[in-house]
Amino acid sequence: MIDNTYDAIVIGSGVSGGWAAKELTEKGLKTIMLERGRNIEHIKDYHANKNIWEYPHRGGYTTQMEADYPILRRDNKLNERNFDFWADEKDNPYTEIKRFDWFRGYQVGGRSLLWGRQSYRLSNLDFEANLKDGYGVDWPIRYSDMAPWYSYVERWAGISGNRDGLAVLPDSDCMPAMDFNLVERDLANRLKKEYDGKRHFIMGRTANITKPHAGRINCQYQNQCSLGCNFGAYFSTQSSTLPPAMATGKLTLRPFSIVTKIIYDRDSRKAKGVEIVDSETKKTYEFFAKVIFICASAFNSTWILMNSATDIWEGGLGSSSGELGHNAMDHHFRCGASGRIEGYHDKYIFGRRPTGLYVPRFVNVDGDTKRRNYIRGFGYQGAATRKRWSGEVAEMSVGAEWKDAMLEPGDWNIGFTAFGEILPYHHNRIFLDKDKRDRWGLPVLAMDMEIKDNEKEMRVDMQEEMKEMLQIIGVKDVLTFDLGYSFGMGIHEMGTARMGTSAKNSVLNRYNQVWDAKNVFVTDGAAMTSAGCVNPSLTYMAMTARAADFAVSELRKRNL
Amino acid sequence: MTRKEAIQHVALLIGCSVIGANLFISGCKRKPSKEVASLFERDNIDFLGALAEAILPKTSTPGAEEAGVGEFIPVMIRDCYHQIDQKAFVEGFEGVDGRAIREFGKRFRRLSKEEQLQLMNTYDKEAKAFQIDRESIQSRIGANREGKEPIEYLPNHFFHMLKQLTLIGFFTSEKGMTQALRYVKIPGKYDGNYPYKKGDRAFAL
Repeated sequence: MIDNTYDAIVIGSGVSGGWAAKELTEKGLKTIMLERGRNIEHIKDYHANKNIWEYPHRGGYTTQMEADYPILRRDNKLNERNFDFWADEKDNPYTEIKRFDWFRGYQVGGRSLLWGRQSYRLSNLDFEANLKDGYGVDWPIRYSDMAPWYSYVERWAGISGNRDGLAVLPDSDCMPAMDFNLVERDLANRLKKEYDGKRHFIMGRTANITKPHAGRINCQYQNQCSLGCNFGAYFSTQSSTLPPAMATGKLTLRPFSIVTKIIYDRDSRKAKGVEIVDSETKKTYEFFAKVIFICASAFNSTWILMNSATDIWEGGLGSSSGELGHNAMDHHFRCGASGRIEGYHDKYIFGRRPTGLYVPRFVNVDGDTKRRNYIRGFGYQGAATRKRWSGEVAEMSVGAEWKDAMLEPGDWNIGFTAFGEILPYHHNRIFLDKDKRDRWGLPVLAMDMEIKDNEKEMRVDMQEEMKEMLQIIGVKDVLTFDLGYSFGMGIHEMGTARMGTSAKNSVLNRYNQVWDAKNVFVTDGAAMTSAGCVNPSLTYMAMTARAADFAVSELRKRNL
Repeated sequence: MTRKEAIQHVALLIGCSVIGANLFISGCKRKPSKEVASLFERDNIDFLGALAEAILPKTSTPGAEEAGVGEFIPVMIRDCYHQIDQKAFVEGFEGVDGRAIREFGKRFRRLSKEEQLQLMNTYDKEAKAFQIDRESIQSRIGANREGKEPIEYLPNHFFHMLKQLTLIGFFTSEKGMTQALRYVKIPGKYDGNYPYKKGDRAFAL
């Protein structure tokens, strides 16, 4: 007889699930973490040691891969280097009512192995946005609720950055920042001067550690994080949250476990446990616990709720408000501007920095920066670099002289892409498509969402503002670009089980508790009430730690 | 900087892989054809190596041939190219000797280095003009198909493919990265004020 009763169940092992497991086990709860994919062992299963020339297609992809994985191919995800870190879309299909690019990581560590690592706090500009302009519902929390938890997770996860002292982007509890290069430093100073200290190039705050920390080695500037880091220098479940959770002796990790539903008890109006299907044997198991954390990534967490307690609520657990699956968000990006910098030919860069410059939001932050044609805002990520000369000139493009010239670096360049906020539109939604089934016979998600005029107007400004800034600080040959954006490309799915101020307007309360089942917590992107314009993972970490603290105190008070 | 370069440049800045990015942009889903088998014959690998060497010859640093580009090209054509490009490549490749004979009276590998370079330059000009036309046609076809894969697909010029594969093959090879460029696998630090003097070679990544 397998003992299948625990104090807590954590569904998912990515950024949020890892934090839930760490916090709950450290607070003494016997916990099982259920992961739908395979195990990835720290270092052993990474690809960091393999040089690009050891791959037959030098990191590219084949026509066979292209035919088999058309969705992964949509935005440069398809490659032969970390191919096994991306979910298999053949086994795990979904329905596109409108185009939706879903890039998933089904493995222990989830997308914490693949993420962009940029880490920023939301500010009250974000927490009050819905209330002020009327889109979506008011956040039930404010910055002051989150600030101590941001600090708490930053200190453990290891975020490097400066204390920039900007109201729109509250300072993090940081390790020393990575360095600007000389060109970036000069341009940052010029920008600050030209815009009277109202616009900034700051060093990107990133979850790469810059000094040894908690058994991890500081960043070695390889910039190949997406292959897995042998030094554990960037935050992932494997490098940061799993080791302390395991060290408590209270964690059971079960890969190959697809949670199919929350087992809901009508009498106590609480969840009793979960049902899973073993993805390898296809056998069904049940696990029981007093508290359940759903951290399966925004849309999959929502899928689990939609599949649960359907005998009571047709739309699933948490659907009584009518908001479950609605208000889907992402960040729209892939547009901005770039240009060439004159001079600095006696300067170069040693090392490959895994972060770049960040330009905090500067539109719609006060009366002076108000835009007439759109609300909310955007930030930029970019860098100044000096790459190898590209070799494209008309008069010389084969032969010895050309080759030798190409072995030298070219001019310095600078470029930025913007990341913009998408409003929480009720009609942007996901729902169950029961006519389509995955490899395990489970219904799949249908995606039905689009960006609207507010985002489209913003995209014009995202290009023009950067063009103007670069020109003003003396960058030459400035060009704008818009590579096009499809919903999902930002890999920041959010909002489909939002927090809100009442059971009537939201799925979760201010502690990420499902209104309809108070021992169930959702602490990933699904909980987001609005998107802000900054990378969201740090917020998931903080809200997970905060919710875990609340859950354990409620358990002790026998409220759960 | 052209728009395309700007796009690639920003792709670099934001950490996307651009290796072969141009090469791989296509929507066809056809199985690799059998006709590429000939490219794997020893003599053709050597011939491809010689063509690549004419594009990126040995100087004070290794050339494309010793960097293994002759072996690399057939693998890429077989595995990563659509049939329509495979066919264009093989046809173009098979025509090189004929063209060398017409223009210089000898097969390619018997030409002097100067003659080889001259022929490569001719090919390069043709390929550039061809690709500009191709892109404008392709973008017209794709104009109303936003967000969808283009159905029609025009082949690339043989030399355009040869040159791209030579560049990719060389700059991602062990010799190209470690002996022609400077490769520091684990830099250990970041120095954004690193001295540079004309003639210093670029870092590989």
